[in-house]
Amino acid sequence: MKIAAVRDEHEQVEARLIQLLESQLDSEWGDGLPILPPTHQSVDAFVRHAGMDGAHVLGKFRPSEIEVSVRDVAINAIMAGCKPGYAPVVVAMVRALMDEEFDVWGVACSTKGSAPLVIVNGPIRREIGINCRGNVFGPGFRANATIGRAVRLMILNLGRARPNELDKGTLGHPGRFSYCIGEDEEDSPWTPLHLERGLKAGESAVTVFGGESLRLVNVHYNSADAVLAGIVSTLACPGILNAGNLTGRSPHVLVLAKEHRDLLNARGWNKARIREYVAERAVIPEEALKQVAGEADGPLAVLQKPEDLLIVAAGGHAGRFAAIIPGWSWQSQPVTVRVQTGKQEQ
Amino acid sequence: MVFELMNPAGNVNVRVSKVANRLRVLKGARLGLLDNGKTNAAKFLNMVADILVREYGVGAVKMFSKDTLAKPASRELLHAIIADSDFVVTGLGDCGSCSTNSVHDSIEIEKLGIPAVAVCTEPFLPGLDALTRMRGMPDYKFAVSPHPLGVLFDDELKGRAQLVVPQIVQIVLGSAESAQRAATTASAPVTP
Repeated sequence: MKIAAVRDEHEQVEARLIQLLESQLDSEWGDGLPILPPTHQSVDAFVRHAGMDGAHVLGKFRPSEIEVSVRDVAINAIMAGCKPGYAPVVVAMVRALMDEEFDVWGVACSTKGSAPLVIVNGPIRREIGINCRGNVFGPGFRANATIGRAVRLMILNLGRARPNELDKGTLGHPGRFSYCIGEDEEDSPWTPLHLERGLKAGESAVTVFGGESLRLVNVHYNSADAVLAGIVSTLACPGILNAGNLTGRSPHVLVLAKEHRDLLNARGWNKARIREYVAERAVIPEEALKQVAGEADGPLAVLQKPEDLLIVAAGGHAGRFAAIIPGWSWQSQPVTVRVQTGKQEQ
Repeated sequence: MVFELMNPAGNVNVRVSKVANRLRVLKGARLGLLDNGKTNAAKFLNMVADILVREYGVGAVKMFSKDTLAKPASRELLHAIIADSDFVVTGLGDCGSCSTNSVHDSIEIEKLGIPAVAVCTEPFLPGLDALTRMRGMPDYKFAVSPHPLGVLFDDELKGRAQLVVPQIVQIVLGSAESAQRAATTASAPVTP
């Protein structure tokens, strides 16, 4: 009888927990996937790791223009499944998202349906387990999955950009669930992204980039020139460029996995040289442009300048693949924020 | 057993404002146009202005442009607009970020004291209604056109201009007389 009573009690607790999780799934505060319930204890732990007061306001989140506190961020991060130890990265990410240069309003609400790609650099990657290698854009790594997801929960709940309401993304893309990668600095022969963007060795950083889904560059011929030709032709694609419109003339991201990296590096290519070369050659001919734009006054360069191509070393160590991620618009520029750990000045 | 969970939605601290006073007459009123740089926005706004001048006796028309296409207009630009206008038409709001920004700009202009009507297309209504509440002006009204708009060629674009003008008049005057006039012309419904 006693055993049966204990089993009944356990079943009741289980049922209560499942009911709670089910109701969260159906609530408006979610991305369609189950969340971790944001209890006071878990949120307080996250806030402590952020090194700031929970009430401290980090900035305004658009389009709602809600003033977002460290606690607001913690609640959404916990729901996403973030560990308290991720707090410094999440806070840096939110600061970057709310930067006017990034224009999260446009990235989140435009019919183009873009998503913030989060790129993590520096020692923090190892500390919290950010995947930089195989399946870097895919599932299986809590830090990548949940930090990326925290972006979306904040856009939904704090920015108040909900699908078919303020978020008018026509198709959206899977990166809107989670889109977070780390740079494989240990294997790459090149300068890491955050150092190129002004940070110092030993520092960690988060870069946010408003982007479409990735387009695979699939070149297996054993020549650096072939890889570059593949990159150029993937960029200079008339069907994705919308030249005359808000959503054209955007920055782009190029992700190079090891095999392509090593091949290029062996022939003397580095990020700066690749950028210059690709910016000059990724040009859509006038005739091709006319077909998709109705009119054209000459050929069109996809990249406005070499600096508009961010290059990230990431991905598995076998496989001759790279990826191009076109940006949302010239109106959203990538933003890099230093990750601060420990107690901070507010 | 009760689970106490925290609210992920932050706090919306909104000061509710009423729309600006309506105009008593359109005749001789100065019209400001705010072009957000979208395809054919300037062309369409000029078509709207032509009808307002020819059929409703609107006076001077001045075009303003913002270079931040789908971002809010700067305060300097807003002040420049209201200095030379009695009412404003903004556009085009035929995509997600630009429609919300056109309505945002128009609400800011209303807070500065003159009527401002954003021209947006039907699919964007649910988000725009949400935005007017977030900006604390739930009685803000905008003109609605069927979708698409900016990508259309001239003849269809003119047709759309003819559809939205009666709505603009009705909103700016807010009177029964203009409402009757609007009702005699084919028009898409004004959002409540």
